[in-house]
Amino acid sequence: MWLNTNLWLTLLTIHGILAFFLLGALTHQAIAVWAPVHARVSNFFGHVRAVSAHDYGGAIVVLYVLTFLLGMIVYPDYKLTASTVLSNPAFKWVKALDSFEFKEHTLAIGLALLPAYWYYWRPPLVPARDFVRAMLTTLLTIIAWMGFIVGHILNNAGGLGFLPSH
Amino acid sequence: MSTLRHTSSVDPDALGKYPLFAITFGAVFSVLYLFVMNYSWQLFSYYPQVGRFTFWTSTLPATAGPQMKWYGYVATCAIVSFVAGLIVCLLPTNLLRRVWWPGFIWLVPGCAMLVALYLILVVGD
Repeated sequence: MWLNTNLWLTLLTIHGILAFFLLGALTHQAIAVWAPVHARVSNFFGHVRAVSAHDYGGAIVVLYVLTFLLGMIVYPDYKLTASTVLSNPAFKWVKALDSFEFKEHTLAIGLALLPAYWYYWRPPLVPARDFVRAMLTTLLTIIAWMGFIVGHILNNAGGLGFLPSH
Repeated sequence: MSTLRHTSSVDPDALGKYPLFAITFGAVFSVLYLFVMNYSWQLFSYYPQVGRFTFWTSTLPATAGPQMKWYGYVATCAIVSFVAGLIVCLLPTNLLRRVWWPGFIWLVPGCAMLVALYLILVVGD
């Protein structure tokens, strides 16, 4: 079951797409929190900053959970395919496995932040909670970006569904 | 969204039951995760090659293939953190007021991530 290439490539692709949406939402929110703009804007970066950060909170929670769940589902296939390839000393990517370890640990910590994150982004947005709200967003953004980059690079290097030849 | 700034105004709901639970859950999870990861306190392990679970520190022979502990790490931390959050909610408010700081929810996980990186790169967990 774990070596059904079509199934795992499909699930991995969906996982990647959801992660992409999550990255977009978190990045927009982080920029809007740290560099908000209140006047009319006419350039690209101004529009990036001018998004309504509070509208992203619920979507981010849902996207993070869905992306995390799909990641949990495809993880066994990674363990049996890509991880096996990457752990081959001849492949010179053994150390890259450490980056995936870091990804899984920080993503778990990020999941634990979601209850507080949801609370702090729940309307009405109390000014006294601005800084904690911003820091939570920043942490989740860092976690999401790091997870995306690590997963992307390792998949490109080893590939889920790819069986090493014996 | 208001301009980000430090404010001296008091958060009127800082000691509400839900934020107490949520902040405790996140902070305890982050710290506990480091110990669970370092000392292998996973609730269970999964062996995908044979499709079997083992509980706590039980292991299968090497022929069973790779052992996945991560699910067990998350389960252990989620359960303990949930209980810790509930306990904090039951503590008297005047006691909490002396030690409570909402910043725990970002400072503790942020530090935990750095410690996790150290454990992976230097200690080799």
